[in-house]
Amino acid sequence: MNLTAQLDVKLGGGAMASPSNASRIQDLSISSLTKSYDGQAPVLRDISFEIHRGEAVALVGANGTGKSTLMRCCLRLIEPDAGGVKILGADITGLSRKALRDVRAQAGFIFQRHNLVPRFSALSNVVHGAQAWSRGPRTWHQALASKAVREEAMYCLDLVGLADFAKRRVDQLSGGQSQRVAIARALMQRPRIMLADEPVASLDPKAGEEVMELFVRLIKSQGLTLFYSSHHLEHAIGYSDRILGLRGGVVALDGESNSQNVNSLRGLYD
Amino acid sequence: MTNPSIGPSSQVRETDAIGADAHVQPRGGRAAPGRFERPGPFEFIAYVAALAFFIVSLSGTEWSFIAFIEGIPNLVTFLSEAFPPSLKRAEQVSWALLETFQMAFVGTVMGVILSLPLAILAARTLTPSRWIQGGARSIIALARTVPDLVWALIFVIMVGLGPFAGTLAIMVDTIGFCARFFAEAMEEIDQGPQEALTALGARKSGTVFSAVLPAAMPSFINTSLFALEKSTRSSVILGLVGAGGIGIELKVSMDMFEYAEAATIILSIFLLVLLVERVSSHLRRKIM
Repeated sequence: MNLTAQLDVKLGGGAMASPSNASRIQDLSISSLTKSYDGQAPVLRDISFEIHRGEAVALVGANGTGKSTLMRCCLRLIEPDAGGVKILGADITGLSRKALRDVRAQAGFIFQRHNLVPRFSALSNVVHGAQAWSRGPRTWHQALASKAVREEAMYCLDLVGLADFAKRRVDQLSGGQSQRVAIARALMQRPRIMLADEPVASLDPKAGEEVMELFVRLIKSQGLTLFYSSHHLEHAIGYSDRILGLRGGVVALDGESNSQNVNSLRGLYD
Repeated sequence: MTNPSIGPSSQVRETDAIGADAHVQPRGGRAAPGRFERPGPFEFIAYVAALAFFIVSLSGTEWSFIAFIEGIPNLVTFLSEAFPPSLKRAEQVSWALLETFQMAFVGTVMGVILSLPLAILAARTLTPSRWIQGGARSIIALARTVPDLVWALIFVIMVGLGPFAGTLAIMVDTIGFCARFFAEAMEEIDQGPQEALTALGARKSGTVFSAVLPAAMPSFINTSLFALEKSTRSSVILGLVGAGGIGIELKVSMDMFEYAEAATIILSIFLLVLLVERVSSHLRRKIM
C-alpha cells in the first residue's frame, strides 16, 4: 500500500471530502496577483485561482517559486503589487487597518516555524488566539484571562492532545508539540478558513506526518476550508482535494489530487 | 633541498612542507599583497592631526609624571590620617548611605517605567511613525548625553536641595540608558510571534504586550540591573551638588580634613556598590 493509500485509510476513506459535495461559495479568490521584491523580477506573476468552502487545496512548487509570498499575500502580511485578494467574501486589498484585522481574525494561519511566544506557557499561547475576537489585557496572558477563555483554550489544547502540557513553557516542548500548540492557537481564533505555510517543514518525517494528520483531521472535523503549502508531495496528494503547482512564479498546475501522483508533481521541480 | 627546476604544479617535498628548508625557492604564482595598507592622503592627515591633538592635550591637561611622583607623599599622609577609619559619625553615615541607595533604587525604578513607552515609540519595528520615532529618539539622546551631575544641578534649581533632586537626576539618566537598550532589544527579537499575532487579527497593543515585551523581558531585566548598579555609583556623587545622598557627607569630611571620617564613608560606598553589583550579578545569572 503506498503512502497516499495509507493516509486515506487513516483519514477514513477517500483522500478528503469530495469537493463536489462542498458548497461552491468561494472562500478565497486570487485574481491577477503580482508581487516582486525591490524592483527585481516578479516572484509571483498574474496568479489567479479560487478555493471553495470546505475544500482542501495544497500548494506545491520548488524553493523560491513564491509559495510563502503567496500564502502571506492572502492575508496581506505581505502587500501584493497588483491584483485582488478576496477572502471570506471581503476584498482585502483596499481594506482599512481595522477592517483587515476583522478579516484576519477569521483566518487561522500556521507558519513553518510555530512562531509561539517562547517564554510563555502553552496555555498562554493558546489564549492569545482569543485576540481574534476579544480585545484588551485579558487575552494577553492566561493568568489574566476569563474562566470561559481559559476553558476554551484548554479545550483547544485537548483537541491537539496537549492538555497535560498546558502550564509547560513552549520553549521546553518538542518541535511537533510546539506546532500542535500553534494549531490550538489557530483553533482558538474560531476561524472559518485555515492557511498553512509548510506547516511540517521543520519537523522530522514521523512528527511531520503525525502533525499533518492531526491538523487536517481537525480542519475537516470543523468543516473549515484549508489552503496549505508543502514540499511533501505525499502530503500534498494525501491531504488535499486539489493541488496547485507553482513554477517560475505562475500557476503551472491546478488539478484534483486524485488525478496526481508524486512523479507527475516532481515535474514542477525540474 | 628543493630542486630549483620544480615547477608550480609539482608536489612540495615533505621537508619544505614542515619548513625544514628555510631557503626554498618560491614555487611561482602571484606575489602576496603587502602586509599593511598604505594610508590615503586624507587618512594620513587624520592620523597626524589626532597625534598632534593628543600631544597638545597632554599640555592642556598639565600632564606631568614629576607632579605625580611628587604627590605620592601627600597620598601617604592622607592614608596615614585616614586609617584607622573613624566610626564617630557612623550613624549619620549609615542613614546617608541608606538615603543614597533609596535615591538609586527609586530613580532607577521610575526611570525604567518611563523608559518602556519611550522605547516602544523609538523602536523601528513598533513606532507608529518615523516622526514619533525621531522625537522619542531625540528625548532619549538628550537624557543620555547630558551628564547626571548637570541634571542634578537643574533639578536642584527646580525642586530645591535634597534627595528628591538627586532621584530625579537618576531617573532621567536611567531613561537615557534604558530606553535606548530597551528599544534595541525589541528591534532584535524574533519577529515570528509578532507576525503570528498580526495574522490572527491582534491589535498593536496585543502584539506588544503578548509577544514583544515577554520576548524582550530578559534583556530588560538585565539592562535594568546594570542601570541600578550605575545609579548607585551616580547617587554617591550627586550629593556634591546638594542633590542628597552620602556625597555631601564625603565633601564635608574632606573639606574639614577629617580624613578618618572620609575613609569610613569611602569604605561604606565601596561596600554598598560591591553589594549591589554582587546581588545584581546573581540575579542576572538566575534570569538569563
